[in-house]
Amino acid sequence: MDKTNDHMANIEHIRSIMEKSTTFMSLTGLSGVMAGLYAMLAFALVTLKLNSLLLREDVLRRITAENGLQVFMAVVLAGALALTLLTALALTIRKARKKGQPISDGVSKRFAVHLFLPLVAGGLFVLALAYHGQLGMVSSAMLLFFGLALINSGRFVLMDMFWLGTVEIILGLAAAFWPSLGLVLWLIGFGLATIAYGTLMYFKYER
Amino acid sequence: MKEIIAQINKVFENKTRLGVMSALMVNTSIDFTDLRDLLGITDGNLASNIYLLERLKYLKVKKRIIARKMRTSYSITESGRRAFLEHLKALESLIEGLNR
Repeated sequence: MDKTNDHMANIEHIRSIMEKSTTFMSLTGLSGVMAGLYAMLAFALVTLKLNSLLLREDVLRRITAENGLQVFMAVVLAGALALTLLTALALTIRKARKKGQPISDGVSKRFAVHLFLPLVAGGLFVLALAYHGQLGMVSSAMLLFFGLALINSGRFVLMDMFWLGTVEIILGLAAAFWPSLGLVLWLIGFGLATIAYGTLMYFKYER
Repeated sequence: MKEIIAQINKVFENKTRLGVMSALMVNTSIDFTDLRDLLGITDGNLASNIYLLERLKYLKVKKRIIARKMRTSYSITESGRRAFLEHLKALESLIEGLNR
């Protein structure tokens, strides 16, 4: 019987090393919840400033004409992004410390590269869209690249990022066909969906 | 029963070597330091066990110089993969046999 336990322990060891060496364990669903809250705040600021929920032709023309509006929106977006990154980094480091895991090992680096490569490409693409005055497509591009980044990096984390990524892509495509709904779809994708996802993952894996 | 025990690979009865092979099974390549932190062992322990696995041709070593530092990484060989899978199969059938 002791022998069986030995072999069982060996197999458990193999399983645990295989999982630990391929999965970035320190991400927490709380990061998703916080990112969603920042996104909702950004949405509120932008829609109040624009005084419109819909990106109709006249609203888009107003944004294109007024440099101040563009700067305002860029600053709000950059602020929300910076807060999201800082919060996610802090929460990740905290969780890694608590569990005694390394923060910068092979898996975390691979996860970061697979997440940020599509995200940075998307960010530059959005800048190009804005530069060419294609503001109606900005929401769509942000949602699509965010979704692709999640699908691309999902296999390095325990959480089912694939499904959130799929939702973002559907929303991004919807925003491409109905650009006037861009802001609302952006709110659903970056705000509500990430909050719902973060909460679900928190209860599924961290409780 | 005897045949199964014969298939148990003595090389993998050491926890460090078993850990190294498990990690290499599911990663294309791993750096020395990442492997050390993953297994939570000392440099010396890892180095001596890797040396043994390398001599058996169970793993390949690749050395590169990055930012003036030598970085050593490892990947599994075809014979290493085969040996590990056979060991795994033997473990499984032993557990099944003893449970029956």
